[in-house]
Amino acid sequence: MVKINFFTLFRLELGIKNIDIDIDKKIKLRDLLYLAEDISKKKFIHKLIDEKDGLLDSAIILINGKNVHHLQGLDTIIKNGDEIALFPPGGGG
Amino acid sequence: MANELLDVKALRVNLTTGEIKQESVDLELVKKYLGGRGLASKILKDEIDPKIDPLSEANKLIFANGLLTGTAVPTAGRYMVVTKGPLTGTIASSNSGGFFGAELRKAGWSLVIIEGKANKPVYISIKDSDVKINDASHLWGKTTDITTDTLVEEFGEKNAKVACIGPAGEKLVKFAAIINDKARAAGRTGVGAVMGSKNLKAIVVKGSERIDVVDKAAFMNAVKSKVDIIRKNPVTGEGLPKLGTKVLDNIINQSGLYPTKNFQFGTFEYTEEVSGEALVNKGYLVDNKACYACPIGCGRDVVLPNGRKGEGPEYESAWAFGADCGVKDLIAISDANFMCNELGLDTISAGTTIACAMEMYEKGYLPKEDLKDGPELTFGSSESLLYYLKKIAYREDFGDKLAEGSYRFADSYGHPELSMSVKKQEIPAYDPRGVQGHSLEYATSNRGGCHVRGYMISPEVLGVPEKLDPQSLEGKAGWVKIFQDLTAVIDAAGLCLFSSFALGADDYAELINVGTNFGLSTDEVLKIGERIWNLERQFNLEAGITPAEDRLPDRFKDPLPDGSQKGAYSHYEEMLVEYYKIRGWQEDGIIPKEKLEELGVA
Repeated sequence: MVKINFFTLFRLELGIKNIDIDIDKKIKLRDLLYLAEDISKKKFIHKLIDEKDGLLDSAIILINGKNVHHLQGLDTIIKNGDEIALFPPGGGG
Repeated sequence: MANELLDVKALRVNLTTGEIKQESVDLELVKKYLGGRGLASKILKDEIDPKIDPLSEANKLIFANGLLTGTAVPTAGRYMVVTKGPLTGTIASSNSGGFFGAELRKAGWSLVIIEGKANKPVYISIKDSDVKINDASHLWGKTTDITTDTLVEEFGEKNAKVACIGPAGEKLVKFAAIINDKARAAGRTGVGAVMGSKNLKAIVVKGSERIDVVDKAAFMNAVKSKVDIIRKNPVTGEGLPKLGTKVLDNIINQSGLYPTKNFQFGTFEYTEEVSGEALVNKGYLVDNKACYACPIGCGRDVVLPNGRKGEGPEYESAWAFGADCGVKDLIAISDANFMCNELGLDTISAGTTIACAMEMYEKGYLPKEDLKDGPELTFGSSESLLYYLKKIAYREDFGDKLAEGSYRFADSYGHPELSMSVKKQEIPAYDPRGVQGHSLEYATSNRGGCHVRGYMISPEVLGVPEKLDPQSLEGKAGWVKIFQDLTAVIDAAGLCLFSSFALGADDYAELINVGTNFGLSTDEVLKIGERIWNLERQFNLEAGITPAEDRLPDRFKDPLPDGSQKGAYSHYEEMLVEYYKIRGWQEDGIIPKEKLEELGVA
């Protein structure tokens, strides 16, 4: 099972805190995100991925706390037990 | 009277003699330093001996608007208070928004230079060119909210703006703030204590003149295009307006960088309880608020279930009273923020100093009898948090020791290593072990531990303007230099640093040029930032702050014990050599004469 946690505006505007997804084999992050959209029936990918299917620089996707920008981006392999955190672009200070 | 953008005027008020002078600033100086932090730092360095006692009569306190403050440029509501700081002994400049700065500029004043010391409490009233020093005996001891309301009423102008100190500034707390518009703080570096040392309680101002620019049509076109960029940007157009700065809590905690219990850990198990999302979901957030000319509106209007209301809490403040003190009670955290605004305290230093005391108490370095009748200083105690904040502001009992800031406090008990500070100013809400560029930024900040002198969290964590690997050292020294120089420009222009989530150096150059016809290239604008940075550094060197103080507490050489950055530690020392080289400084961190001459600082 993979847990996807939604934070900041995702949580407030989509109205979901997290979803669990059962995967029977390893899956690429990109595919998992589309699967999550189907299951949750909520649209959020457009805040993370641009029209050319690239990961936005300011999208924050953490897999077990590691930013996927420094893993294999949308091609990062997700396995059972992974915990994913999704944030739309944000900043403050 | 005409109020031209390039007619930069200074008001010089000597509180010892009562003399008030009006001066014009040389345009060549404006071209070199713009205004705000830049111009005021130049004036301070020229006019005081950097070695003076910051709380002596010889120090000066400069309220300085940025070049564009008070215009229609988006976020142009910022002003800077520049002085020699009592917390660090460095040059101190503390920035604030709200409406005070813009009102001051509309009264015709870019700078108010305060000299000397009044022999009794006074306040300064400014109505355009009508400036007076008035008795403030009836305001002494009052909190900032009461002081503000009283002064606005006495002044007879309901739209007058007030910047003032609370009891903490009067009592010379080393991290006392100056509060304007009741809830906006020139918070850091102890500028409020300098104001208190001069017996100056407040400045109240009402202005009546709009600011004229050379080519109004071109100016407004540029303004409109930048507002558009800011509104369309997901950070400034959506995240900050909807969640405020507390959009960061979960981002930073999940990234393993959320300093917990005086920086002993990098994650806080109760973040969900105290996050920006919780502030909304618990129904405490009522509305958002914007400063002058700001299309972002990151300010929070909050009402607590206990009836207390105010602005905030901001990310840094809520972290300082929350995770840093191990407190999970969002009501107490918010109340602590409101108290700091009313008492005139810097939230970051206040929270981090109490967190330091909590660690010392739990480790047995702080005897219980020293707390007098106060509650035990244990992590997680919201009771002790609120109790000692008040004691600090009035310097009562044990609060008197805490009022010296964490470094002097911990040092007095023989444990300076437990002060999480740089150059004696407390470090804010990002554990430097997990972000190497930000780690270098902390170590080299000219005003001590600070996140807004070159916010490397932006590229290293938030991916703005591009995503950098937070653990990589490669190229980070260069990034830090550019961020520090650009930030100095933004400060000198009088704009909010948050605009830089959407705007870049070219945008700032355009806004400066269209208002002034200076015709500066982007490189020349960044050179202004470099000049300001070097001038501040030179002040510090002459004050006796040596490059040996470009250092972090030893704790950050030890690996983070938890979270996603577990095992990471700071490599700032490895980057310092390259940083000095890129800055054109000597290997020992001293600025060579040639560099000072190149920048026209000497």
